Amino acid sequence: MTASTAVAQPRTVPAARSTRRGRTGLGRRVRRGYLWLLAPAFVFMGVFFAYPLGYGVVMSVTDFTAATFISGEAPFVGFDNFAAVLSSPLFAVALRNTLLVTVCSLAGQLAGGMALALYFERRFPGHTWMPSVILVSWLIPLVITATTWRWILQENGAFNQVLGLFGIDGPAWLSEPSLAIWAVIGVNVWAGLPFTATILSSSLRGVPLELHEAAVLDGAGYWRRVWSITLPQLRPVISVLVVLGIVGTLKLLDLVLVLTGGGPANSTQTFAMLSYIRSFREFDFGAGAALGNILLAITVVFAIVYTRATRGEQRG
Amino acid sequence: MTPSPRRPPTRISALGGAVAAALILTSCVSGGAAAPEADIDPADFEGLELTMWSGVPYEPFMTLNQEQLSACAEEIGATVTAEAYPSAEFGTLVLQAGASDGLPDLLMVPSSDLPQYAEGGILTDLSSYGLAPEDLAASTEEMGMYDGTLYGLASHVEVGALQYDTSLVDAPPATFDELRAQAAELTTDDRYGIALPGSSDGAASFFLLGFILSAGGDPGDFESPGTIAAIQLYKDLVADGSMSPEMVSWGWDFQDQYNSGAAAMTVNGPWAAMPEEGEPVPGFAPYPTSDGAESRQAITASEWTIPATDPVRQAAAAEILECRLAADNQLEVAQVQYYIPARLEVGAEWEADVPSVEAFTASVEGAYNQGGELGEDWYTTSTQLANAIQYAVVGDLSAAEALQRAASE
Repeated sequence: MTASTAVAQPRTVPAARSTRRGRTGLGRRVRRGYLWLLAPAFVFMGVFFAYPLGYGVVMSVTDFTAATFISGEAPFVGFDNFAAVLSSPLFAVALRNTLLVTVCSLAGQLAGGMALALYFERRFPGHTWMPSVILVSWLIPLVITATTWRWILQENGAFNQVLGLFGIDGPAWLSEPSLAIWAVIGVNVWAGLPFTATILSSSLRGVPLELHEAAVLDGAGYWRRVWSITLPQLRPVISVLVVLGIVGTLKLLDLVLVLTGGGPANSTQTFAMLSYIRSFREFDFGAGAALGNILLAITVVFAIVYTRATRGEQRG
Repeated sequence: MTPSPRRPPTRISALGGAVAAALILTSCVSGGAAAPEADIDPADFEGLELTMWSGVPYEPFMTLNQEQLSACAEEIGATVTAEAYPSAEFGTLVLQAGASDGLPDLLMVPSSDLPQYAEGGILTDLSSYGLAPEDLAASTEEMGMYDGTLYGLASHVEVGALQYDTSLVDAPPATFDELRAQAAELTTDDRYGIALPGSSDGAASFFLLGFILSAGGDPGDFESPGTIAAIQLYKDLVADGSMSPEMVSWGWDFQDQYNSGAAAMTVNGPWAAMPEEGEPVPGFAPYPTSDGAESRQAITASEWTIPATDPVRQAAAAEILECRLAADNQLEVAQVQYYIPARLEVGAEWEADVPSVEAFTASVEGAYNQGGELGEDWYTTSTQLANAIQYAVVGDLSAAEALQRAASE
């Protein structure tokens, strides 16, 4: 046994080696196959993500003007574009407004969306079709929404006419520097409310009824159940809405462009708006790209911090 | 923004820009301001199908322009298709076409944009085809020049004037003080005395230039007394209650205020003199002046250019352009569309037929060409002037402070 084993071993070891080599070779081939399967994804990412981002970075460190599109000549200027936009007094204004619009819009959309979702959860005539109707306003292009609201918020517009019925003399909402930013936030909340309400409304149906029944038996009131059962159950959905809301609002352009154009007196200037003005009105694409990259960095930081924070909560 | 003289120009090369740069550079090699061949046979024009682009998508100009171009092309046995695009998208379209070698044979561009296209090398020298400015005001001629080369020729020009309701205004104001007084008199509960644009979409700065110049100011100098006086005028008109503070959000749509009867006076271009059925023809007057200065206007134009395409096509385009710029064609456009003919004699002939346009035609000579005076800085200056209006009117800053703040941004 021992001898045969001893004799047999030299035969089996090379065989085993051979098998391992075979497996390794097969594994490599399989891995190569996987890599080829991944190639379309890499090409897609390269063409649609890496290229535009890289091009944006290149633009932000060159003196990129309209003529550059034709001549291809763009002198390298290092961080001059970043220095110029960071030293402009408008940078602080745009930063404050961008954060204000983002935070307030998000808060308004989530609070309003949750209120609507809870409202539509109740049984009343029309509770089945009403959620679909409010979606119509979300389907309207933002440019049209902004144009309509611009008319509504004029000094003699529909909003002030309604206020007039209650004896209130409304101001010119879009022409007062102290009010215009709140008008922008209000319209943005209005525009985003249907989406938030619809998502939250459908998520509410996934909250187990048993939890509510048990809480009722324990004597919990309506608001206690909303706070202690509904909101925790909806946390994953709310997290997604927050990230989508942050990203969507930070880059908000069309609404501001049509409503106020960044005015009056730069009171509604945001990063996206400022980047647009530098690029497409002043044809200073380098400065516009620098602002765009700063905005991108802020968005990424927001997204990372929030994602990590929510992951931490879920683990805890 | 002009390239820094300290650093040599470099090609865009890094990262993803490489692919685009290759495309751009390829187009540049085939582009450039190539001169036409001297010995081109006109017989080569036979059967050529040329294209013309403009950012003037308005009727009846589009139809008339096509008719005139077709008639001119027929003379050399070619055809031309005119395409008009919204002005807001036109600049981007031209840049894309320039980068991809897809430019038309004839290109009509805003005079303020001509320098950047010329600098990019997509336009050809019109004098190389034997074309030359003919009977043009110096400012009109300058609008087609860049760096001493003739890249564009205008068939019509645009200037502004004070527009007023003749049923309310007997004699238009001649000075800033008279304008304030009359605007205050004309203001009622449901009507403001005057409507002027204040938004930053380009209308505010263009129409403000006339007030700056008519106060003896220099639009490029934000500390000049005339520039400050013009901003102060806007501030005073709003403070008097003669102009709505909502003007800060009015762009090119500001004339709706006058058209709807919400304002008794405004500023406008010559097309507003076109009679409309059932509507009274408004009155027009030169801008009021301040401090004894003469009324002076800013001028702009759509410049006819010939992009670098192919020597035969360029030569054919030049033949057609020479015909299109003829006095008869300019007069016909003026009569139909109320655009001021670029040729001074044609303008005088039109004015003799339509006296109401005198305020416009009289302003052409000696007008201020912002593109020529400020070059590419005009884009930034335009935004800053609009911001200055807003800071002064609703931002509680004095005119001088408003200009200073706008300039610092």
